[in-house]
Amino acid sequence: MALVACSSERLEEHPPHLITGETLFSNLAGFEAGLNGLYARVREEKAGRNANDMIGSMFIDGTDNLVSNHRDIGFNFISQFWQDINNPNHVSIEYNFSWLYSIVNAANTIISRANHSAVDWEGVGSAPEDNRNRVVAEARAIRAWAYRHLSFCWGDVPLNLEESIGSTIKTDWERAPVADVRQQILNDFLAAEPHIDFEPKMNGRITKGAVQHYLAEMYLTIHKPDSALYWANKVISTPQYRLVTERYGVRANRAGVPFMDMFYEGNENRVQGNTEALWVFQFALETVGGGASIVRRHHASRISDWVVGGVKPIRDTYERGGRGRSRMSLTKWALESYEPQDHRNSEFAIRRFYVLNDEVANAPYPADIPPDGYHFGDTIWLDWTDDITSTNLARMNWPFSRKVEGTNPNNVAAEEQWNDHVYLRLADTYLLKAEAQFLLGDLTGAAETINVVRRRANASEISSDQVDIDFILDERSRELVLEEHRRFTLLRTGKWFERTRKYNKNGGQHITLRDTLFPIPQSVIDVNLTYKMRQNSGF
Amino acid sequence: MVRLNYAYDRRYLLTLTGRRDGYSGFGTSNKWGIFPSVALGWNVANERFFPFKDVFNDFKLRASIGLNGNQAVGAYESISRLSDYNMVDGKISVPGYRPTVLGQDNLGWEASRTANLGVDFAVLKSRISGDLNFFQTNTSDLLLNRTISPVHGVNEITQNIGKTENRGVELSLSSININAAAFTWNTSANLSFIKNKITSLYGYRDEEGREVDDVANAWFIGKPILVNYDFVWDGTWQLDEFSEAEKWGSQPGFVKLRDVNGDNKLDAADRQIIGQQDPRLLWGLTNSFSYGNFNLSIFVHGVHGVTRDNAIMSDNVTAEVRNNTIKKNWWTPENPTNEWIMNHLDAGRMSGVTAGYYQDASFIRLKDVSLSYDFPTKWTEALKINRLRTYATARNLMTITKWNGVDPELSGSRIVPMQKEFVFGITFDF
Repeated sequence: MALVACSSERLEEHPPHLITGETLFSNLAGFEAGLNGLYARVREEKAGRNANDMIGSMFIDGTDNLVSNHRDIGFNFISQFWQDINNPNHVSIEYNFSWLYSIVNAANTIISRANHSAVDWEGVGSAPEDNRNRVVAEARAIRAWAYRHLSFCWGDVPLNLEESIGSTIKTDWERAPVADVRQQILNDFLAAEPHIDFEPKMNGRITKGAVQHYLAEMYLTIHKPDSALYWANKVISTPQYRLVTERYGVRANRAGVPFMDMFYEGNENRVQGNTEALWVFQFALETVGGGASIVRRHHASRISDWVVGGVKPIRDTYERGGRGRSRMSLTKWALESYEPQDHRNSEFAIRRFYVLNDEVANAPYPADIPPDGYHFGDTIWLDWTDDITSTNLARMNWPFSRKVEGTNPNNVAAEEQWNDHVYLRLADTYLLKAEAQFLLGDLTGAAETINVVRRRANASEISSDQVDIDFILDERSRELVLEEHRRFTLLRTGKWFERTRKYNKNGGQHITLRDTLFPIPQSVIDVNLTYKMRQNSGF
Repeated sequence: MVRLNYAYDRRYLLTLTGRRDGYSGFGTSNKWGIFPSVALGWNVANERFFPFKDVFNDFKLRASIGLNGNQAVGAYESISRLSDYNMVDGKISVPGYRPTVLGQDNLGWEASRTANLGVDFAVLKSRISGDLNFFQTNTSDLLLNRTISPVHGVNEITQNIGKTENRGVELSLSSININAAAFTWNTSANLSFIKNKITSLYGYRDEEGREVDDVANAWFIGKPILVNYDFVWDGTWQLDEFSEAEKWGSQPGFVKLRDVNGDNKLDAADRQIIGQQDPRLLWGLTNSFSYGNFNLSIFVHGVHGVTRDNAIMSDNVTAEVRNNTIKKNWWTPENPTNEWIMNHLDAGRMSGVTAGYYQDASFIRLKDVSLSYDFPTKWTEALKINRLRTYATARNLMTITKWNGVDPELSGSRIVPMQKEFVFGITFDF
């Protein structure tokens, strides 16, 4: 008996519904889609492994200005206990490591594919060669951004600069010295800088100013303050980039301060009037590709569960920014680091009290519930008398920064939020410049640079004899808390251990110098079958 | 496909098969595979010299060897591809993609070479019959999802990997125990014993020339294919172990994990192989009785040698309260058990490490009991129908196991367990 079927050609797969490297990276539109996917992955810093573990908390929490206020299994479990909880098997460490390398590979893929000669780079409004250069520049900038995170978190890390392909799986990755990694970061940013415009190619894309800013930061990191000053000045002298000094946008007619306008939904982007923004992460409610972030859930306090006199007085509303879960809160020091008149300390910037609203004032949400002795219209104060500590945490009535407010107006108890996030802005660049000036011995210049930022916030002007590295770090906290990668800033200035010990009372007491680097995930070591990957010392 | 059957004198049998298969899902150079097999049979009972003809009415020896192809991957697995990862520009959707699947141009057939030696027999005019088989299967280029270094940016790839060896014995027997006019009792039983191991992986060797294991995938040379690999749960720190526990920053009531290499720290080197996930022994036993118009059938089966992580024992109260489900024998100073730990957030962790709770998931289960009654012909004739039967069936009536998870027969711990079922029915046909 014999049976025969099918011819050979039938077995060639040409699936039109699948996106492959060959089909996508054939023209400019395909490369733009590759970049969109890359940025969609990048913005997940503000999202999470799950609703209780924001990726970005690893870069900001467990520092002098942010402290764990809630016991959890994610990164804030590490930042509360350190010691043996900060170990190579911790899921958040592993997740974030993989997340960053997935960004590296997505960027590498774009960079490698852009070298193919058959690509059609034709696009509207710009020359094909410029399109190609800009696409490669954005991918290289994002790759540098990912290695920046990796090098600050883990020190020496493997340098993967090629698109991963199935036929060349490596089992012998070696950790490149951190100096080499930082040189690669500089190479990528320097190569990208000339080809990226001052304005983002579309909302959410990186700008020339952001690339220059990161160059300034990286030069500070490798102790070259003169180069840092050069790049910071490039950003500051760009006429399009200006601090927001006047009220603007969606809430311009309501009480407020200029400093806070850029954080309001509808005001975040450059096209919306935020002249200070260098990079803005994009989100959109109920929209394909809209994503979501959980920063407010992570930071804002759990006010709607706060019990006073047997009732939960405060309702979640859209105006109040949505439902907080206080995973990481401002330290008592951060809260008290301001002068009273400082706009960054105002009721618009930090939530320290609520006015009890009736149903008209809270509309369309229900009325608050005044506890005994309170009436509608009364002020009810939050409490920050005692520091957050391991025996006094889960503080529902702890003050919080209002930079991260935002929710779905139709579901104010939502876990997530969909307003855009100012990710990098000019005030940060000013403070990098001040740091460079300080390191170069120009105290007068440094004081003046800091005063530019302070003047906008209605803080008093400082004199050159007040400038030292701690003052600069204090000012960065006042201005950039929850925005800057505080852990990286403190590591860069050699101050993480000292200042976290000093100001963080729920975790700071447990840290050691070992914890300036995270452990390489055990899964990464296990899978390196033919070369023993070195663990960071102490783990 | 070509097959050739040849039989000579009802004594000698030969089957030759050759097939060439193609699968689109494989890489361009490896779509086709050729799989031949040969089988020989010898009806010894039909030989003139066979001396036990009065006892054996059938006795046949069989031997076969063959190559089988396995295409256990979906279509398009060999192609590198990107997944939707859309974005917005302002509030407007824009399409986005990112690389998620690494293709393998040389992905090809998984091949198994199986050799089988067997005997079929029947004695006492087929009152007892059965067959016994010994087999060995050597599989190469297994199609597996392999965890790779996250540094690649993609954590998994489907590849042809390594070599495994499967050896086993299978026995099946059926007998007519009692065959009287009013009462019959038949028994059938089967039993299989299987041992599998990995004989090779990627061919990477260490300094001493030994092939290296793949710890990340829990694949170890010489060990079963599917094993558990984890820190070892050694019970609970007891009250009289206070100072020993304290050295680990722990306390009585908390989990005691084993420092296997005795270096006074718990790290990757202390992980061990904790049993295999595939059973070593499977058996089934069916007894059927009939008495008059009554029929009773009882089926019992057993699965032995399985060790699994009893995931439902792990609490997750901080994140998912609804999964914190089962009643436990909590440790207390008054109940100093080693069975479980105390009710405390940190009790399941030692030196920052947690471990799965592995248990023997072997079981014996009374799977099916059926009793039926056929109504007599005079009734059915009166009702003008051909047949009328009433029956009652019970499934999963009883399970004997040490496993205290949901159901040892299911591989997952959070799957709805098999129900005890009782079915009562009437069957009739016209």
